[in-house]
Amino acid sequence: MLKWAGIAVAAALVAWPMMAAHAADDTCYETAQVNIDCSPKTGGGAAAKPSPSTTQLRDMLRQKLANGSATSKPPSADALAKSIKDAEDRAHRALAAATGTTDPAQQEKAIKAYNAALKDLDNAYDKAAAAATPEGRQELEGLKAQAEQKLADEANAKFTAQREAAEAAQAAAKPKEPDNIGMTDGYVFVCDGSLKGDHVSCREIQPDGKYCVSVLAFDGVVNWRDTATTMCSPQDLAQRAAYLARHDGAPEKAQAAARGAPGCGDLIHNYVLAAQAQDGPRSTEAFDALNKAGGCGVLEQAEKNAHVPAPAGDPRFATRGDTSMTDQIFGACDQNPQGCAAAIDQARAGASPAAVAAIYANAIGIGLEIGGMMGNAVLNAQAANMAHAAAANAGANNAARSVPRGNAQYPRAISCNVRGCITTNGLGPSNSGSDITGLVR
Amino acid sequence: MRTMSKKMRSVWTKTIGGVLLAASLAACSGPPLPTYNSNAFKGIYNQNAASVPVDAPVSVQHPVGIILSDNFEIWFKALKEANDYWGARVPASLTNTAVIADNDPAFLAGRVLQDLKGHFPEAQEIKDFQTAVATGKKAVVLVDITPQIGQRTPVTNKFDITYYFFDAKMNPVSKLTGHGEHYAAFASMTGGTQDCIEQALAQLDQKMRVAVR
Repeated sequence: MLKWAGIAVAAALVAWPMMAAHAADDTCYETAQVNIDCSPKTGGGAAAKPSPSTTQLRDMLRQKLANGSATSKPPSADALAKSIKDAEDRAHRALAAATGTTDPAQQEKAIKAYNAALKDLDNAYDKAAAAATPEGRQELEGLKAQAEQKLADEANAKFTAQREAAEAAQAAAKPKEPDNIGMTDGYVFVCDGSLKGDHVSCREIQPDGKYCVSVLAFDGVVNWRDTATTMCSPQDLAQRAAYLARHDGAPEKAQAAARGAPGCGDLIHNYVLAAQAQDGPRSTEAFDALNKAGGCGVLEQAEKNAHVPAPAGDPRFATRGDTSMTDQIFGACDQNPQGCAAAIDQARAGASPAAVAAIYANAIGIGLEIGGMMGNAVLNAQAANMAHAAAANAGANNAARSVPRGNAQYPRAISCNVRGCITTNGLGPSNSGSDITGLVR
Repeated sequence: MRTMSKKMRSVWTKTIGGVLLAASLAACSGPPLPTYNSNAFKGIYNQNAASVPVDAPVSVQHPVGIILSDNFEIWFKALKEANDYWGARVPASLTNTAVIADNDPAFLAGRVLQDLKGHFPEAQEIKDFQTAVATGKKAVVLVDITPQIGQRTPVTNKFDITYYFFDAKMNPVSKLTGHGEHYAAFASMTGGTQDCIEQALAQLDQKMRVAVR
């Protein structure tokens, strides 16, 4: 858009000297650095007569040239008239091309062509004037001024129209300013209807940007204000933020109003004194008080000022490697202090004497279980030995009985516990009542 | 008879192995001990931390950023490796949960943050100095740890926590160190890491009351 504006201005500059025709210098410049003659000798913009047609021009040139110098061969009237007309046509076409596009490159090219055509037109008229009688020369110079003026007017009109069209398009593209929001003395009002409406309900957002007071406005003037202050809704605050962003100077007005709010002066003063005294606790206290009052328009600004971008490539700062575990563990604690406190308590409990005692008790329990297993193993071994010995004896001493293999006379124990063994004949431990308790198990 | 003997040997081996593992776990032996950075600023700030003035008074501006040295990462990784190592070797029923709780990373992280936020309530944990500057921190506390936890009992375990204070221009201005010690008797179930951390933080708290404004 800026480029376009520049080109439009350049075009206007091209047109202006020709139109006004009162430039003091002999040469004018435009952005394309094509020199154009804007000397007063052209007669300026005084001429208002319509420019002659090609036929008229040719006839006039024939007449004037006929009385020209006899020493040199006069140029053809037809040729002179044609060169003038050609230059004019090229200038019109170039102008149409320059104003018919929004492409800056195309425009620049067209403007160069336009300026070249103007120069050719100037030369063509000068040639004709040189070959003409003194009266004819004067008349031709008048015609030249007239032609150039016409072209300048046309250029001016076309570029003006183009600029207006662009501005209109820009205005159309710009979002319409909502009529339900306004600002007075740094206080932003957000209304349910048009601010200029009749008894429209609005919220007066305090300069702290946090609290709101309900008001009724009549034609943009507050005629009722609630005594209570409430927290503003996020929607109202969003509208306020958008309004401040759209209007130059509005944030500064809101800030000034915030600083002027009741009590803010003292809060700011106390904070600055504490900070200057390098008093950490008092500074913190004053900071908190100021923060609770909404910042009084200074905290926000200080925060913005403090957010200077990181100096690129500060040689002191190293680029950190992987700290994923630290990030995970500390991040969780930082974001969830309650959960972290619970984890701390859990860790404390887990390492407490009671927890250690529980581990010992568990170890003892497991040891006893293992002891039981060991006892079973011993009993099993004894029972197996007994069965094996009995079978061996039976085989050796009583072979005539021909006990089938694997079917010993005495059943072999296959599992034992403290009360006895289960044997290969399927008999379990004795179910007789306990000697001690008398209970049957 | 031969079958029974094998079973017995197996049971005895398991029993003795379990007892030995439990005892050794209490002493925290296992994977090799990690090597900690002697320069707390390594990988964070291009200067040797040893040159920072000790116990110098410091005025801390707000807001404060908290940066954790790479030794935290080394410590946390070592704990994870030890847990993984023993988890693969010791049955769940014999796991020394007390030593795991004693070395719980959340305990160290939580207590350090509690301590710092007790002094600087709005302090935030951040990754590096670039972030500190970008987020408008006016001071940074770089926290470093030096754990010296032995593998076998009896042992005197030590745990140092150091706070390095950086001013608004991100220059180190002071360092305060808290030291904790715990004697772990023979066959202790824990190394007293929590005890060490609490002692170190208590010392730091005292020093901060004097030096930090």
